[in-house]
Amino acid sequence: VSAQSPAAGRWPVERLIEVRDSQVLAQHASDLGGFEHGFAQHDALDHLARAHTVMERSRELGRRAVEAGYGDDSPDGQLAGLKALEQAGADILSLAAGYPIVSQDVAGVAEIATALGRPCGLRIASSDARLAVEVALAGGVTYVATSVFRALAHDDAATPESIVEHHQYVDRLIAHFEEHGHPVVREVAAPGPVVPPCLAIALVLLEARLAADQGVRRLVLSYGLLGNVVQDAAALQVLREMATEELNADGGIDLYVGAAEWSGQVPDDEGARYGVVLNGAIAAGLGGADIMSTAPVGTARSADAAAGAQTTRQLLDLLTGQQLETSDELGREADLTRRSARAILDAVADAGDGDLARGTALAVRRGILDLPFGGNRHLAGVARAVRDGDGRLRWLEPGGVPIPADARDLHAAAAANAAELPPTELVSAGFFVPPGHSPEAGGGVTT
Amino acid sequence: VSAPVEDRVDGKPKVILGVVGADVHIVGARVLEYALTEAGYDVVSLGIMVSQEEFIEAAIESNADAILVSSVYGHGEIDCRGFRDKCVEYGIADIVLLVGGNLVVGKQSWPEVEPKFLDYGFDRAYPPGTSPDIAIKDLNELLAERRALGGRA
Repeated sequence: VSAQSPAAGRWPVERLIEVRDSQVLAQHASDLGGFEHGFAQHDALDHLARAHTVMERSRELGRRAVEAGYGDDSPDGQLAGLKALEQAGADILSLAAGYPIVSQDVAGVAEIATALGRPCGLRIASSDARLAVEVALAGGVTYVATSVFRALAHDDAATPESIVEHHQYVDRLIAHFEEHGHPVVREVAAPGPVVPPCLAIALVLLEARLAADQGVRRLVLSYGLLGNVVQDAAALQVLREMATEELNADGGIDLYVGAAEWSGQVPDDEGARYGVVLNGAIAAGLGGADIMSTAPVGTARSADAAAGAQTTRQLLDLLTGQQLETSDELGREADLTRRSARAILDAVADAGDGDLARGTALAVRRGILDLPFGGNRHLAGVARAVRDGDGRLRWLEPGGVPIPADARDLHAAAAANAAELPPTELVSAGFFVPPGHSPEAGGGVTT
Repeated sequence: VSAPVEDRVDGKPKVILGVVGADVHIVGARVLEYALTEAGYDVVSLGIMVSQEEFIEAAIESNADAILVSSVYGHGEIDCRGFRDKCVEYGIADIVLLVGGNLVVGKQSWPEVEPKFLDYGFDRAYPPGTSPDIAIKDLNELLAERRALGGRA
């Protein structure tokens, strides 16, 4: 396989403009003009419709922000859906899959962004989100959630090199807005779905460093909640600690920790689905996340999305000021996660020989970064994860993911002990569906 | 024409597995891949976004005994319609076909959904949350049945 390696290092603005003119604007006819139209759009936004203000204010007040997304193919439906999320108490209102942002174009986004009282965001899992992010920023979006590894999980054929490079463009574009006095918050979205904490943390730290490399200054590092509150809270704490070390030794970055709702299979029964949403909010609250991305309670309909946001908002407010007490169990979990994440980061640094962009792409091809449930053909596809008897996610098979030997043993023992289930049931326990459960309904729910 | 299972070099029956259509939800297929491999099957995994033609061409190329189709995003009816006819067209009319996942959108009951997929020519169809053991047991039986009839597998 031949692939051109992306190189680390901040793009000069001339490169941004050159790629913009020769590649991005050529993808689809759009009403994008020069950057100044987007800057003017940001200038016109109300104070509380800017993501960085809302994030800063939330932190000052000691409250957790809530991000919620909705996607509708009609402009009216999209606006109504986001207004319902605003009404439900969400702070960041994201355009999500289902809203055709490129064909609705800058004017469509601007109409929505100016009609909302809270910041408009964009949540996207595309391997090439460059044009979508251009349109979003030009229309007044101030929060962009995207991720190299989320894209990799969802794209069959795109190369890791192209995905890394397209994200460099997005980050350089965000930095360009920032430099001109228009702050944009970049969320490094959680890689999904069902990624063990040590790898999930290593992946967002890598990508956050790549974003910072391009000049991004406001970062939300998001962790995908797995369902076991102790494991999730430990992961959120380790993420904050390592992010501060890795990225913010000099305090130059406005850094936030995010928690993303479980994105795997959820129960068919609506009441049971609330259990999953509440469990996630408890882990985010007690783990000290600054912002939580909610999921709909059920299907992607507007009412379900609003119910998810409202439930999460309420629970996070109730948990204000509370954190999970340090315990031996929490400490062990945090130590395991921290050391394994460190080992993965070191291996990627080695692979790139000092170039993190190159190292990230190479590490994918060499199986060092292998998603247990990723769809991309360039992933090794060897790593496997399962739930242990306590409902924590463990490596059944880490494959080429270089976790330390003692962690490997611990994972193997936990996986083997998984209530001594036969292998197939062990794997099924990776869902929120108990082994042997066989629902009557034909149309389940997937997010 | 497929060799009987017992004549194969490693004696393992071979199955093609993938996520059909424009669907990228791979968790279920990966779980099945693991369970089938543990159960002694030789699994050819095609990953996500696999067309009917790609399933069938892979089955011909690797001389497979069965095609297992996963569909999670709700468009299973569009993606799976005419699957058996396509197999007939390509000359593997009697290959075992299984499908499972969130096959339809909305709250349709399984008794309404299952007949549609049997009508598309699948030997079995499975609702969400089905344990892999159930599909593997069926697969074993269907392959034994095909062998007994002197057909594929």
